[in-house]
This record gives sequence, structure tokens and C-alpha cells, in this order.
Amino acid sequence: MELEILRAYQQASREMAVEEMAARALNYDPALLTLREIDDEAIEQYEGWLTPYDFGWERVLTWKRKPAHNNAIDVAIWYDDTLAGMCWASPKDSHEKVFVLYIERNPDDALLTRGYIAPLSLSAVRNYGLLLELTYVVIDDPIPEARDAYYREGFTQLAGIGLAYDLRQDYDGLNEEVFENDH
Amino acid sequence: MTTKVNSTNVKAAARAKLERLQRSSKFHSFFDVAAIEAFSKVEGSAFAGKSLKRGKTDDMSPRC
Repeated sequence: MELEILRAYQQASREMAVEEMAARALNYDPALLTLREIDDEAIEQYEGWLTPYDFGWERVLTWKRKPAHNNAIDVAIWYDDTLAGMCWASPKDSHEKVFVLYIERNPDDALLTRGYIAPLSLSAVRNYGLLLELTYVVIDDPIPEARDAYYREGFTQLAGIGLAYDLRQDYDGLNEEVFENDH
Repeated sequence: MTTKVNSTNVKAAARAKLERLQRSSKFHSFFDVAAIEAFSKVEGSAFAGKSLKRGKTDDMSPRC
């Protein structure tokens, strides 16, 4: 798939995650929320995070220049000019799965976005998986303490796949017809 | 001769496709109140991923 198409899918996926959240009328100001690519500005803010995790987010800037990672989606979640979280996901070489490799929020517990980073990330990744016509969103290395939250989102532990969300559950007959018409 | 992809059109079509899906009767939103609350109760700041090196878990120095 051409890089321009992948980039358009990735951006549409980020934008529609914001719109999905806006439609739920939650307690936040939608004008302050943006989802963007992970860039130098994001990494600069991330370097000030007081976090015990080291996911090596700075590597994303290098990965994004390599063709092998063209089909990966990176998400930087900004709220009121503060980097609130980041996500990296990729289908790798799979034709049916998109793997969520990293999700991390800003460790400042006082931020309003604390509970929204994973849902925003998962929404963007699901959108991307749907556009690529994949079947599962798979969490590669879920943090054990977060498992219950993933189950509440509809993820299940599938044999041979892992902690996964089956994208087919979001289709109804109308969707299938719509998607067929798009081909 | 190659055909240049119009990324604006591709993005618009992708958004339209996702909008239709989000309106479907079976669409499950990830912005469920109970799920948001469950994620907000996770004590650590990570939800997925394997640390390159955990070392001292109480090491809270900035990344730089």
C-alpha cells in the first residue's frame, strides 16, 4: 500500500478517535484535545516525564523514517498543550492483526486525561485496523493491572492470539454492505 | 505514467467510512464510563508495553 494512503488512514484514524470521544459528551473541553503524530515536540515533553517505565519513545522518530515501519500508527495525545499520552501500534507483517506495542500516559496523576489515554489510543488503533480491513486489535504486552480495564472494553483472551478485540463485532449487516461498496 | 494519490480524498473517504461504522447499531464505543474509570484506577502510567530496562522501579528521574 502506498505511503500516502497509509498516512491518510493514520490521520483519519486519529481524528475519528477524537470525534468518537466528543460524541460521548464527557467531562472535558474538546477544543483542547488533539491527536497527532509523535514528533520532536512530543519527545521533548516526554523527556521530562517522571516515569519508572522506559519504552524508548525517542526511537519512534527513527522508526518513522524507516520503510519497514510505514504501516505502523503512532499517536501523540495532547490536551491544552500538554503531552497527555502516546501509543505505538503496528500490523507488523500480519494480514489480520494490528498489535498495540506501547501505551503510556503522562505520569502526572492530576491530569484530567488520566483515564482517557488508553480509550483514545485503542479507538485510533481500532479505526486504523478497520481501514486496513484487519480482524483483531491485539495488546502485545498488557500491563497486568490494566487487564480488567481491557476486558471492560470488550477485549478477550483468545487462544493463539492473546488479549484481543475482534473488530468484526462492530459490524452489522449495513456496515458489511457499506464496506463492500467501498471496494 | 504514475498516478499520484490524492491523500486529501483518501482521508475524506476513510473518515466517511469510519463515521458510518460509528453510527452502526453494533458499534461498541471505547469511551464507556466504567472502562474509563477502570483505566484511571491503574496505578502506574503504562497500559501496554515492555520496559527496555526496569532497573530500580523507584527511579523517577526525567528521561533526559
